[in-house]
Formats: sequence, C-alpha cells, structure tokens
Amino acid sequence: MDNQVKIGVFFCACGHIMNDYFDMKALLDYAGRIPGVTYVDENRFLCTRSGFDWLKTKIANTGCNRVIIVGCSPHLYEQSFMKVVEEAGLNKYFLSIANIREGCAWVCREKENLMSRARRIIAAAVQRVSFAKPVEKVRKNINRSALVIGAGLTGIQTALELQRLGIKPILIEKKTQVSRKNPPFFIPCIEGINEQEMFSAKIKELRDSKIELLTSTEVKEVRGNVGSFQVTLDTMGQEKALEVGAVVVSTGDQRQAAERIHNLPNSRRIVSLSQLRNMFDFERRTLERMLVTPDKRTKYACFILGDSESFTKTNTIMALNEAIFLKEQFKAEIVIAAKDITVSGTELEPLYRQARQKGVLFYRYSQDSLPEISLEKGVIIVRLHDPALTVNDEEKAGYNIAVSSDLLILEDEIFPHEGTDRLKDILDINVNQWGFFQEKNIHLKPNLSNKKGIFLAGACHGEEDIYETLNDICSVSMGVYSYLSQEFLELEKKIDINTDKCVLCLTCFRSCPHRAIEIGDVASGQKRGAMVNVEACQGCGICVGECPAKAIEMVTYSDNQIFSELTFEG
Amino acid sequence: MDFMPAIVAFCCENSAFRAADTAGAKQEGYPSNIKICRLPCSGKLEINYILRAFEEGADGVFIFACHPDSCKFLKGNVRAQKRVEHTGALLEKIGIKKERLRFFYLSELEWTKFLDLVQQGNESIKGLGPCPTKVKV
Repeated sequence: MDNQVKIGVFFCACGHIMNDYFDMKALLDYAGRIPGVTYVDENRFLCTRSGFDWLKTKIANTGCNRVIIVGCSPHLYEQSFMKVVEEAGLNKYFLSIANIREGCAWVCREKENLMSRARRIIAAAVQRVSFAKPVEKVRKNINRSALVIGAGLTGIQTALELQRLGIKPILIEKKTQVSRKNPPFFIPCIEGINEQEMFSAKIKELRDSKIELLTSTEVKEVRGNVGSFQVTLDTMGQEKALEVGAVVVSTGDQRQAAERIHNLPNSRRIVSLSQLRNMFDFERRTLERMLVTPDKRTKYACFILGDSESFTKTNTIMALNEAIFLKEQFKAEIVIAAKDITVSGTELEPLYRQARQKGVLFYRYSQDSLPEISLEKGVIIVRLHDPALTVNDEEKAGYNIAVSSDLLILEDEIFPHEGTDRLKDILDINVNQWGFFQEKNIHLKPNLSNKKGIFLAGACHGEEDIYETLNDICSVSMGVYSYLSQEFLELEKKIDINTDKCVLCLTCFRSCPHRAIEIGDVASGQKRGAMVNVEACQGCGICVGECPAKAIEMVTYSDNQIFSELTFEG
Repeated sequence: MDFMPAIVAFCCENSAFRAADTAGAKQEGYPSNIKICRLPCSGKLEINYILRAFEEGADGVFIFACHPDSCKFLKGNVRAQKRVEHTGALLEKIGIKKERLRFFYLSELEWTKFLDLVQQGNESIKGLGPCPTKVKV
C-alpha cells in the first residue's frame, strides 16, 4: 500500500460568504504550500449534492488519501462529508474540517487577525489529518429478541409493543404469578376506567399474544453486550440459558408507609396511602365499617401530605384520586391537609379542580407548625394551624382547626424495588444516590442505562406517574427497535490499548462509565491486560485520560492530533 | 501595541464546542486570540495537554465542561475538574500562576455565557501579562 500521505484541501466558498471575509486566493496559496498537501481546490457549494459528487470525483482523480474541508462548523456537515469520504474509498476519519466560518470569519472583529487565524486553523487541520489513523470497523450479528425483567404493567406493555415491532420478547417475573404490582400502578380518576379491569384485559392480551412468560424466575447472570447478551435465568433452582439482543428493566419501585406512621399511636384507622389502596381492593368491608354507619353521622377521612422529608408527586396524585373515590363511594367528608399541593404531573390540575368541585376540603399548614395527631378516647384528632384562614381580628392571621377523623391517611415513602441492588451487580449498571437505576443522561437519554442495550422503563429509574410510564414504554420499545432492527451492528474500534504498557492497575476498569473495559488474557500474547469491549465502548476517552501508564490511545483523538492544535505559529 | 494573550480553550464537543459554534454563528464576535480545541468529553483532558499548551506559548488555558450531573458520560466533567485542580497546583510549583488555568461549566445552549466567559477570561489573562515560562515567542 502506498503509505505516503497525500492531503487534499477543499475550500467551500459558501456561496460568496467566504470571499467577503477572506482573500481566498491567498488562503489557497497558503494551503498549497503546507508540506504534505498535494491538492487544493475551491467549490462554491460543497454541501450540495453536486458539491458532494464534485468532491468524490476530485478525491478519486487526484489520489488524495486525506481530506480537509475548509468551510463551516463540523456540526453541520461533518457526518455528510464523512459519508462522502467513505464512498470515495477512504476511512471516514481521514477527514478533518477546518471551521473558518463559525470559528473564524464570524468571530474576528479585527480584520487584521482574520487571515492569520484562518491560516492557523487550516494548518492545525492539516497536522491533525496527517496524524490520523484508520478506525477499524467491527461487524456483529444481532439477536432479535429482548429480555423484559419484571411483569408489571410496564413490563407487559413493553413486551406487547416489542412484539408488535417484530422483536421477540421474553418476559420474566420474580413472583409466582403476574399480578398487579403491590402497590399498584396508578391512573388518575378518569371516569369509566376501572384499573382492575384494565389490568385483567392486559393480562388477557398477554396470554393471547403467546409471549413467552416465565414466572418465579430471576436473572442469575448476564454477559455480553448489545446484540448478544448471554443470559442465565433461574426458575426455582432450574437454570436456563438464552441469548437476547437487548434487556429492558422494568422492576418498578416499592412503597412503604413513611417513618412517621410508626411513631403514632397504633390504630387500624391510621394507614398509609398504599395501605388504603390495598383496603380498597381486598378489605372493602373494613373500609365500609369505618366510613359508613347506620346512624348517618358524617364520617371524616383526613389526608396529611407533605409532612415527611421525601415529598413525592405520586403521593399527591394518589391522595387526590383516593379522596375523590372515598367521597363518591362512601359519601365521607374528606379533609386534605397539605403544606402545598404541588402540581407537577399531567392531569394533576384537573384532578385537583375535580376534588374541589366534589367538596373535598383543603387546609394548608406551614413548616413551623406541623399537624399534631393524637388519639383521644378512640378518636383520632388532627390539630393544625391554617395560616391562610383569617378571623375577624386581622392581626392574628391563621386559624386553629381540629378534625376528628375516622380514617387518617399518611404519605408513602418510595424506594427502589428490593431486587434493584442485586440486579445492578448482575447487569453491571449504575444506580443513583437514591438507589434507583441511573439513566445515561437524564435529559438526553432518559431511558438508557450506562450500558448500551440495557433500557430502563417505568418506576425503576425514579418515581413516575402513569403518563411518564407510558412515555417510557414507547421510547424504550423504539430504542430497542432501533438497535435490533438493523441487519448487523457496525461498530468502530475507537480505543486502542497497548498491552505491553498495561500494568493492570485497573484504573481504566474502574473509571469507564460504560463498563467497557475487561481484564483478561490478550489473545496475541500470554500477558494479561485490559481490553476494550467494542460493543460497550461509546468513545468518551475517559480511560485514555486516566491511564497512568499511557497505554491507551484514542484513535480519533490521539495525543499528536491534540498537540497539533495547540501550536500558535502560522 | 497591546499585549494579546494566547489562550487555548479545551471544549467538550457535547456542550461548549457547540456553544462556541453558536456564538460564532450569531456573529457576535469574541476575542480571536482564543483557540478552540475539541475534545470528545472533558474527561479526555490530560494533564500533559495543559502543560503542552503552556509549553507551546499559551498565556492561559480554559477548560469548558458540561454542568455537573449533565455529562453524557456520567462523570467525565468531574474528573476533568479534579485534573484541572491538580494541574493548577503543579503549575504553581513551576512558577505559573494557577489563575492562568481556568475551569468552567457550560451547557450547549449557554452561548451568551460562553461569550461573557471568554471575554472576562481574556481580560483577566491580559491583566496577568505574558506567561513567564513562555519559551517560544
């Protein structure tokens, strides 16, 4: 192979914009004189189809093996130019873009600096591209099936969606049968929707769809990477091995009565929100006895919100929903005492308005005087101070209220599901400070874990209301689809480890955010060392920065390439 | 003639590099003596990049990383910050004021902040004068 570097520098005049700022002829001259540059040319519009074709033929005719585009910002057309360069038969990283529009022409106020800055940018690009090394491509086959962990509503719905998209889902559940998650998923009170019926319908749909469902099953081991995870499942002692292309975690969260409930007098009439929901479903009689009596005395149910440290939005939704329910079904008088009714979910504002219209009473208390709960002669008395209510005397703002309630409902605290801790070690993914699974990027990639091919759906990555969960399900199924619908995975080997220099200090192993570094026998020699897993690597270069032995090199950003940009000459 | 400091700005390509682009595209203009160097993540920044920049004649080095908890690669920005702090101490030892090395958090959309930061940074480096270790002129 001809190893001589032949750099072609192609200027884009961007219509006539560049000529307004630069003396293009001088720049072309300058570029032509840089050692290594064999060809220089200019086009009016490189970013058009004809421009791309022009570029392709020029590369072919002049025999350049490195390409520099002098024009606009790499963010605009770098990908397109890479494609063109690839079509011309070169490695796509043999391209460098000298950004003299956004990086120079529109930056410099002083005309005299314009040309020198542009010259420096072009020189740096030439340097950079002459140090460029080809990036190897690795092709990998894809297994078109996905493992869905946890058969709650989220899991079932995700599996159904995946099947619809042509991906074979395998649904596993730790419990002996698929049941509504306890506490259940939650839908704000929309007239005519019965949650129980809806869930039964979903289960029926699942049965009809012939999706493989394994109950009493846990994940024992997961190896491999996106496209082919080797999973070992454990069904009551029986192991089963299978291969899947992606993993969806939908283990959900766990609700517990807030700590405060244990400090209160022990009474059956003091419950948490999740306990109340349970009573709705399984102990309706008890609830009736508490709230409906023959003597027609008005019965009171009181909710207290926002008094625990961990304030959560689903608690508010749940409380409003149950309040309307209790009001409708048992004709009870409902009092909601809250520090603040926080509107932070879809449909929450209409729900609040609905509650108001139905006659639910709202009281507000302040941080300084939290509601006091006492049990007096078998009656629960809630005493609170509402600063918003005023009596005639205007100086004394606020009003003391005592509610004798037949049922007192307190908030839940929300925790990650109990299996989360074990699962995170098995899947090798991160959890956040609260113990929920950590998203790859909470703004940009809210459903990806830090490992490629492992997705997070539902409340396993933080508290969610039903609308967010539905969003999750859609984006997760599309995410899985976008990976698994390809014919094969094409991966780039951006990180290169020199095993001779590796001293097995494990720094890269610990610092890799995607757990892409493996330690083991390197095939070429007997020496043990760090290896990069191409499927998991996302090319951030953190390991390169951390490696104390400088054994790791990032092919697309090698030291020489970075250094070449630091010079101030020219 | 006024002293024009030579400044290198290491920018994460997910945030500040784009911010710099936008700042350029808005045609507001920023000091032309600032060289933008693209990194795949601020976590890729190595100590010797900073030292090399000073060796090559930089009077100041800025590092732009994504905001805390917003790094595309989880903790790259925090790693960069630690490395910058460490390098600052090293620079002090060899007689380069650590004020010449500055670390900023920036998001992709904060191009106005980028303009302010480079403007202010440029002024402060101007105030410090040429770097004493400048070998190449």
